[in-house]
Amino acid sequence: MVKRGDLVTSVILVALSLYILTSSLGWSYFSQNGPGPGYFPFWYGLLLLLLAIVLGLRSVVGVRRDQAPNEAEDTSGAWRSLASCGALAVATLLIYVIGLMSSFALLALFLVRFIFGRSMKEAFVVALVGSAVLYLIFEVGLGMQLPVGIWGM
Amino acid sequence: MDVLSNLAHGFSVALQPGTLLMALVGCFLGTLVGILPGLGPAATIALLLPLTIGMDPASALIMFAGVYYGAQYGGAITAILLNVPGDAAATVTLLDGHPMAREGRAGAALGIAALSSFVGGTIAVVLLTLIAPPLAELALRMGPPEYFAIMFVGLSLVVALSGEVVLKGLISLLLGLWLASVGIDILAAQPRFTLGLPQLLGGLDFTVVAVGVFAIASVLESIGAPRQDKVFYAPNSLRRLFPTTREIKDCLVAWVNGSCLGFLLGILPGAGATIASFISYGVQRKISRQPERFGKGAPDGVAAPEAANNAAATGALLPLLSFGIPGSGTTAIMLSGLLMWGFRPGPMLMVDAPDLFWGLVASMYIGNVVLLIMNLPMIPIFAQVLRVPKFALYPFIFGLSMVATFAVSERVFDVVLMVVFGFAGYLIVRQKFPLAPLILGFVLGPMMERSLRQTLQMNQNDLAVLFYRPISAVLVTLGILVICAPVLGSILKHRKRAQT
Repeated sequence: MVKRGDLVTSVILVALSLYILTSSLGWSYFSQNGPGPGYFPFWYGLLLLLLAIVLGLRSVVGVRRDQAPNEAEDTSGAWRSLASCGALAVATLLIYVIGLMSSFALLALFLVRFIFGRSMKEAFVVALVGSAVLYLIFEVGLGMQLPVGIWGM
Repeated sequence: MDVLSNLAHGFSVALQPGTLLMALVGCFLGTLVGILPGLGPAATIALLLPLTIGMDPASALIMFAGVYYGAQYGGAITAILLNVPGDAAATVTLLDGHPMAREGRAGAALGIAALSSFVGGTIAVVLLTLIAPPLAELALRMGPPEYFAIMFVGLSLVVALSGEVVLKGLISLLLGLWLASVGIDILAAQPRFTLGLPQLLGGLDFTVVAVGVFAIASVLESIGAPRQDKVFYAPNSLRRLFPTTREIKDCLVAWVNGSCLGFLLGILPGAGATIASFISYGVQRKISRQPERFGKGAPDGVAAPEAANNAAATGALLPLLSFGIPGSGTTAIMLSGLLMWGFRPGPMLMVDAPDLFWGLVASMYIGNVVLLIMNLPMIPIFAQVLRVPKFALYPFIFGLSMVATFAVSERVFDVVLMVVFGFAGYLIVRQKFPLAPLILGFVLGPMMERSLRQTLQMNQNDLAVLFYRPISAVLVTLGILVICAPVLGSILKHRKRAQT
């Protein structure tokens, strides 16, 4: 029984450790003043490579039947999390265009309405109250200048 | 005598109205985040860090400590009333706390939890007061090899105790070390792992990483988690919160056991409050005259883990304050706060910043009293917090994370990075990799690399020097054994299985 999650993680980690190793080889390993900037990354990169390979091997051959994970469990929960993360990423990029407060309000609207399945009215209340609280704490209370977008908000 | 006069000075700092208010705010916030799902003390302190820029450092650190041990108590409320631990350390509390609630003794269980937290926290802070100064003196005599060895054994323990799979703990630690290397290497002025982005030359900001992997990742995890069931509401009358004399008698041994074990285990990097509460519960059950009551609503089954997890939170501050080396994710964030405010955490802290050091210690005596006084009458109110709908709470935590991260350097780029770390943290948690080694590797990475390079510079690039000096030799050997023991154990187990 292959533990698919661990196998994919192992492949990603092997790629990352190769990046660390090749980068570290481009920097000084030892100099007259002792170890250079490549010394420490080389060793943890090498160790990461070895451990990633062990993780990959274990995922293919090391899992007994009784330990096999139930990978089908709660996929809807995982999709909800991933959709929320995607919305957060889009909202963050929107900060450059419409400012931080408006981005947060849109994010809250989306999450409450579509991820939590609440009414549009509740979504508006959360977006408005949340934005007002953040505005009062950071802009009014702490005197911070939050990023504004093309609307100047 | 010296300790007493220093402590008196600490009380003069901690009892100032502004500082006292911060201790209150910290305890209140800590209890709240202990109750609320999706936000632990580490994420809360990371979110609060940017707000403390320009604040009095002693007050800010005292507030953080209040959040830390306040959360230990808050976790018990959900464990008892909801059968869902507010944090991992409260998992054991529900074994007897929830059965007590089902028998209609929720008030007594909550009262015992509050009293136990008070006793555990107070005994631990007395031990901290007595042990921290001599330990800091010892630390002053240490050089780079010993410091490297302490960090090595500390990180080994974190890996070994962080979960079922040592392999994943180790990988998590190495990822933390890698993240710590991003930016210009100070000793050689060499940019490393910056991907050609000038924004990364200064390295990754701690708040960005911590808010991402703790706050965002845990909210994403909670959004995907199944819904919870019935709540047993707390009694509205204060009188019903006091346990009976018989119940208090039952708890006396548990308090001593939980406090001492909790403090000792709290000092060990990686062990922390969760392991302390599990072990003290096991010991209490072993030494109890009626072990069959455990799991069915035994008061001492609540008292031992609650005393232990509060004592462990205090114990975890010992290596941070004496050596400048944190042993848990939360204390790692407190360390980065100390650095941000311009302090050099370590043995000189109590000499360079006596107000901060002794003020913090004194505030913990006060904080434990505050928690007890605040918590007993406010239990019914705190229990109402459980009714805050998730659909309102989680978007707000996202918003708070975005603004708090922006506040650190006023760059939207850091908010983007925070989201990247949030997503990575979510994947890491889903793949059952522990997060504590990652964050500790990130915080300790620069210190560890510097002390290793200094050790090699001092000794003609000979790493064997670690075994020539007694303290470092013992610690490095211990670290290797800690890492190898589980691996050897599993090899022996496989062999045994193959033979049978």
